[in-house]
Amino acid sequence: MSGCPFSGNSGQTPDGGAPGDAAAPAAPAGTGEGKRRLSRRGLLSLAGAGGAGAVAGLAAGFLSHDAVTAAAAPVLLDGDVIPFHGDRQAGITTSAQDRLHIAAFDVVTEDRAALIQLLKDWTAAAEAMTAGRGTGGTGAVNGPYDAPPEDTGETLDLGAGRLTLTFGFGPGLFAKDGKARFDLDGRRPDALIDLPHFPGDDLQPGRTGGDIVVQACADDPQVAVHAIRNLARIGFGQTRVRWSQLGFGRTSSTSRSQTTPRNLFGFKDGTNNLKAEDTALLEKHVWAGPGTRPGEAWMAGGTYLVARRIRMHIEIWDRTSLREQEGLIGRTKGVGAPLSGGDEFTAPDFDTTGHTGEPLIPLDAHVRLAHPSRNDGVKMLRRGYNYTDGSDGLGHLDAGLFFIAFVTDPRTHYVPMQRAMAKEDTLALEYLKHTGSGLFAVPPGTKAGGFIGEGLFT
Amino acid sequence: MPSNLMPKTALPKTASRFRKTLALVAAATAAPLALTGCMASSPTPGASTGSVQVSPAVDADLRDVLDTGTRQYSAYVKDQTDQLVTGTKAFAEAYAAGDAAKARGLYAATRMHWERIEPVAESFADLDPKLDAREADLEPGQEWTGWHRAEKDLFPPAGFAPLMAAERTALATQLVADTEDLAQRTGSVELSTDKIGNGAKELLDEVATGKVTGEEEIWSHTDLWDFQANVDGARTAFESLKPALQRRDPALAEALEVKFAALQDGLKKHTKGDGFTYYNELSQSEVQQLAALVDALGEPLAKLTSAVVQ
Repeated sequence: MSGCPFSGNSGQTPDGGAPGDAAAPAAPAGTGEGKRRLSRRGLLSLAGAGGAGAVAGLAAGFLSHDAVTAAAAPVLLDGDVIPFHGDRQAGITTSAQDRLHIAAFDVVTEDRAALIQLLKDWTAAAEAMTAGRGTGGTGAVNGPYDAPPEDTGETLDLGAGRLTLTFGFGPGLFAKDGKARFDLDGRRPDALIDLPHFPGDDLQPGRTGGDIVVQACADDPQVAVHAIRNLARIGFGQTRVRWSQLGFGRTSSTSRSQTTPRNLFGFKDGTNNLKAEDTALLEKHVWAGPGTRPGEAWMAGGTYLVARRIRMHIEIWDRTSLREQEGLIGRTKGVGAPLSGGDEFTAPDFDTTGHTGEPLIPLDAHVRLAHPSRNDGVKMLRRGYNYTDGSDGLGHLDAGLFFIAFVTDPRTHYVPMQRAMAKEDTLALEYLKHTGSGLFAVPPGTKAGGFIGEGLFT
Repeated sequence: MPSNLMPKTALPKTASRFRKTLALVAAATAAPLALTGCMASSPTPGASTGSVQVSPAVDADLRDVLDTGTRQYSAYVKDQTDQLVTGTKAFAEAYAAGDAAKARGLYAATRMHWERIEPVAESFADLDPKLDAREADLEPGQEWTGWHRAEKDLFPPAGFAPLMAAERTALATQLVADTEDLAQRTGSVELSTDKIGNGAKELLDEVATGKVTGEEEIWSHTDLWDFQANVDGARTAFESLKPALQRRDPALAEALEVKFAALQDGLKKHTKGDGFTYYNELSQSEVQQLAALVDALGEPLAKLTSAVVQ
């Protein structure tokens, strides 16, 4: 974890989470659907893991998690729908869906009432789309024949696809050119900083910043794209899409019912990511508190979303020996075990040396540098996606990781680690380039009858 | 953003124009028989298509308002067409005479008359490509005539071989003849409420896909003149329907009023002398701001037709 796009660290044991907490009301979008995924896909995953020659311990580990989770989680009648309403926004601890479409919007109006109305309209659309319905009262085909349909229609034959829509506010919503906007003077949370420049950053303005972010995740890419498209449409006049990004495959697990996916370096990613079941750790590392000023108390129960578009020099990586690849990551490529031994979920041992006297996990290994023990014990909940945006004109894939992490405070849980990684991590220095960036304050969840971010406007 | 999220149609410009054209030509042809012909071919029962065919439930007063609007808009089209003919003659004369400076000065301003009535002008599938085809629109073997061929000759890229005097004369003569043909045929087009409402939307679509992207005038870079003219045409169409819209959907009328004004304010920032800044002098963020204003108007404008013909 950690600032790092890859690898796990943490040293947390596979059964570290408290399964009994999984269904706690604090995490409404948490593990309920995880159980359903086990029934539908978990068995397949298990079969796959066994077939790949996974060690017995690994398979046993999965079994024990799944068994515990299955026992603790309530049965969802409609497993295709993740509830939009809740104390916390969905799409954070929700077991990571397969696809992403994330968009950052600039708010082009300066009218507070128009902004609030937009958030209300977006709330209504989000409620409909996450439930598998079209936007507007008449949807895609039931409106007046001479009018453009309210919903764009490409999900007519698709289910809800476990769609979640997660909203966050960027620094530009609160002030522009030094002037407060929307009467939000004093309401910008102190933790919503302007991210500093990190060594090696090559940020493109058209992929950076934004006043409002919407993360759409779904198991069907068309569902995710439809959601952003319709929100953008509703927003015309009030908002303009600043950047958007598709992610085709999850690179993190956020539930113990999920297998660990791989990034485009071919390594398992997020082995020791924070999971929905880790409720105590989520309180400490992910969910935000009320802050120190009354003006920022609206963020209690929210979190901060860090987005980084990380281009991988994958052609260069592909010419690197397996020995060097594993040394740079600090884990084996096949199983994902730390080079100090064990299986995927064994805690890495940074002290053990090999016959040469060198540590088994190299000093510059990503897993070492990103480990909480090197970062004041901080953890983050990562929810990134692999992306490919065609090629770069030089015959190379424009591909990498769209890094998304949720943290309680980026000042303690992102910036220090990223600063260290940008300086020391050989992987980051030689194979990665950060080309886009954003930091957003994600308010707590929306209640039925309320609207997104309501607390900020009261 | 539109360019990222919504790639432009893969169809060449001429193809998309042709598609629109079919509907308009069909309507124009059927106009004398509108009541029966259009209703019978409409796939939706009850979907009325114009002021002449409004349902009996619509009160006579509203019908008067719509008919008045239709007459006003028809007069506008006629006026613009007349000015187009006059302006084209002056442009053609200067161009054929080899007075490139004068022709360049007349080019953008004259084309504004065309752009203001573009949906009507484009409704003639044979004339539109003869008058307004861009080089990229041409099929292999197709002769290139019209405004944009003169544009390339007047604002030539490096290495371009200028047209011969005889070629210029032929091009100018054809331009005038085709424009006069257009004017004559436009006079017989029957306009109706839905054609006007849809025409307003199409004009803004033209802005969104061709002008705000700088594709219409790739040699002269006078896209903002076309932009302004498309907006003029759309606004006039809206104004023609506004009295009816204010009865049917006052909130939409108000929203359109505001968005048209905002777009006009945005364009005004780029006026320069009698004209505008050249497209290639705009910064990326200025283009983005204009695109956002077009999108802001485009969404509510798309609801205009339905609101007045419902």
